[in-house]
Amino acid sequence: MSYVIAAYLIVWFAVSIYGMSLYARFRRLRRAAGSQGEGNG
Amino acid sequence: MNEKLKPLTSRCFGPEIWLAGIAMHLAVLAGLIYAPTAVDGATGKLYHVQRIMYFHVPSAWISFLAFFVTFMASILVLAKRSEWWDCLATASAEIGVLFCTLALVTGSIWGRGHWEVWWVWDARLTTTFILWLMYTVYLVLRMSTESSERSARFGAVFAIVGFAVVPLVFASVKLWETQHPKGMVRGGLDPKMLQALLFCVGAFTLLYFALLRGRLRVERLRKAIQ
Repeated sequence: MSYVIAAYLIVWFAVSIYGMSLYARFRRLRRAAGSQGEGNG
Repeated sequence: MNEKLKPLTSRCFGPEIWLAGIAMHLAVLAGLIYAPTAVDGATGKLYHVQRIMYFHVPSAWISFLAFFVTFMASILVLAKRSEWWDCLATASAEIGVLFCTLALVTGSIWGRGHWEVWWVWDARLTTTFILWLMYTVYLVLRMSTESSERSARFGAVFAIVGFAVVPLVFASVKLWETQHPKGMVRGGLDPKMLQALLFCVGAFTLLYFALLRGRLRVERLRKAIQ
């Protein structure tokens, strides 16, 4: 059963980390978009 | 903020991400509790490690779906030369590589529990590994080259050629001698097991579309800023 738990946890954590990294990338780009607009006036 | 960028910066994920989160929680319950424990036909003992199937099969299914979307989008990149299709191809390939990695890792853990080895150079495993390698190279190439129409066309050709491995992965269990289970679903799976498996496939599919929407927004925003 430990193999099963390990497999489920790996999938769970990988998907969660990927989702969070996507959100972090989005926020970084949104900040960059905001500062780009300010630069352009 | 630039007016053109405004609609792209509202939010990353749509409301379906919450639905996908709930479905994934239920998928864990379906795989661990709802589905009955399989019995090993040879020894008559309970075969707990088979429960990995409820996460392994959907992971593999999503990787094939994602690569198919990349394949179709790449054809449209070449036909229509639209940036949107290029964004979709890249976004879907990234999610495909994630789930292909998970299919390989969960398959390896299943193999350790069943065959007592982490990896064998079996036809199904090897072709899946080649598929993973193809699209990882595709992603590395896309990320290391500047966004241009030329790089989009080159990426599209690479993705189309890479997709040729998918039918090979499917056919591998029939073409070569392999240790990988063949046609498990058709081979008389317990109805509760089948229900749990189909539910997990549905939950993973929902998760794929929720992640794809987020990834697509990131890609479009990145290109708009460039």
